[in-house]
Amino acid sequence: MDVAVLGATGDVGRAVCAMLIERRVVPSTSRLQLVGRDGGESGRAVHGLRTDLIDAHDEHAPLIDVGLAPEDVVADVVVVAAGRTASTKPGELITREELAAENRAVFEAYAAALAEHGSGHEVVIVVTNPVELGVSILARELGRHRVIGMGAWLDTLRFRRELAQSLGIRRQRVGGYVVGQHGDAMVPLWSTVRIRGLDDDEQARALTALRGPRSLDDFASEVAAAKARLEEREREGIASAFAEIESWPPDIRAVVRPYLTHQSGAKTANGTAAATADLVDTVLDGRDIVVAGQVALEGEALVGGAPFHGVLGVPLVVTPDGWERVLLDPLAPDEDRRLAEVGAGIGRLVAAAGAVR
Amino acid sequence: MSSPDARWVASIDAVDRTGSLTAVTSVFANRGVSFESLTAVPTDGHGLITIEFTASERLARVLCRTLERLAVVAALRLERVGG
Repeated sequence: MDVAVLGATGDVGRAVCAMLIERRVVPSTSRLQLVGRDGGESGRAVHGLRTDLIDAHDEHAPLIDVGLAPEDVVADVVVVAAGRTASTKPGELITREELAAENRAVFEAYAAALAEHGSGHEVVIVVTNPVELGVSILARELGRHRVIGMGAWLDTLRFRRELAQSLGIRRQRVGGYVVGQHGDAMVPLWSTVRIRGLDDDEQARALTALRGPRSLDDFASEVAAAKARLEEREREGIASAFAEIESWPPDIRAVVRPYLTHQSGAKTANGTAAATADLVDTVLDGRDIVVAGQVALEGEALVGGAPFHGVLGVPLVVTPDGWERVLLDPLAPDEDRRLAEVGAGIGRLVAAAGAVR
Repeated sequence: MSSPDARWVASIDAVDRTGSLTAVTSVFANRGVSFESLTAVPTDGHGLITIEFTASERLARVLCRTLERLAVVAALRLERVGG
């Protein structure tokens, strides 16, 4: 099946394209569509990127097509990586609200074009931030089950990796989900963590040792304090700041390590692309697979004791038609409180950007 | 709600080179649409591929939009059989 990458020439878009080909997610008989913006730099670069990808992967490259406008998008899975990203330059930090104001027009243009010209069956994976806003706008136009935000899966992979590092094992031996909002307001669900190879008692002891007496009630202030501390350590050098992170708990590391990685100038394109390729592969795979993603809910999850309406990152079953069931088991009290708080914050962000859901 | 299945003929002006037919037929195969007939005739540096198939109007449109994105397809005409 065919995959389109909107914003293909950006840092993340390039990495996504390369990974989709390298991992054979898009086979040689299918088409990978690189979409840029006519008249912009990406409108030129997208032709060069096509050549570069064929140069690199000719042995197994799919058919590669170039699109230059939203109405050119034709694919079974559409990856939305277009739009502005946060600056990596000191003093140029952009808030999620500012990013929302800038990227809203991008989301709306592609949503309208897909609604008008699309097959009615495309599955859309939103990578561009704020991912929750993108999901809200695209779900409104295309139907909510066809739109999945990638952020919660990336946060989930980061949380699992940090847990695995603390335990001295590989990520694939750790389960568990991160829900809520992508980035600083992620909600790591310690109650869902499973460590393969340990029985219940061993696991409980391991997790208690990792987490200590902390709860998610203080998570936002812990993250804020950690970021402030990193700013201090950065003055001594970026290596010093990275070293400081190693001494913090896994859930805090899952938030601040990507933050520092982005600020370092390296950005997080490869990690983002890997999580995105995972999701595309999952959609194309044909089996029902559980991942985490931001989706537009209409009461499928209980948060704060009530059915939640709005965009939220949750564990869910993904199929070739999009997402189906939400698999959010009853949460620990601190997780439920934090998720309710974060959910309300997403609602405010979406409403402030003028996209109502 | 998709319209009922109908019979269609797609006339495809394709570049006459190795792989063109594979690219075109993969578009149908990937979407589970089989051919009722297929002919390929070389014409002055190009190839005319004619495919007859059955699909809903929505799916026929998806197939055409996808075929038009192929580098090997120069032009395409879709006609409904009997309509």
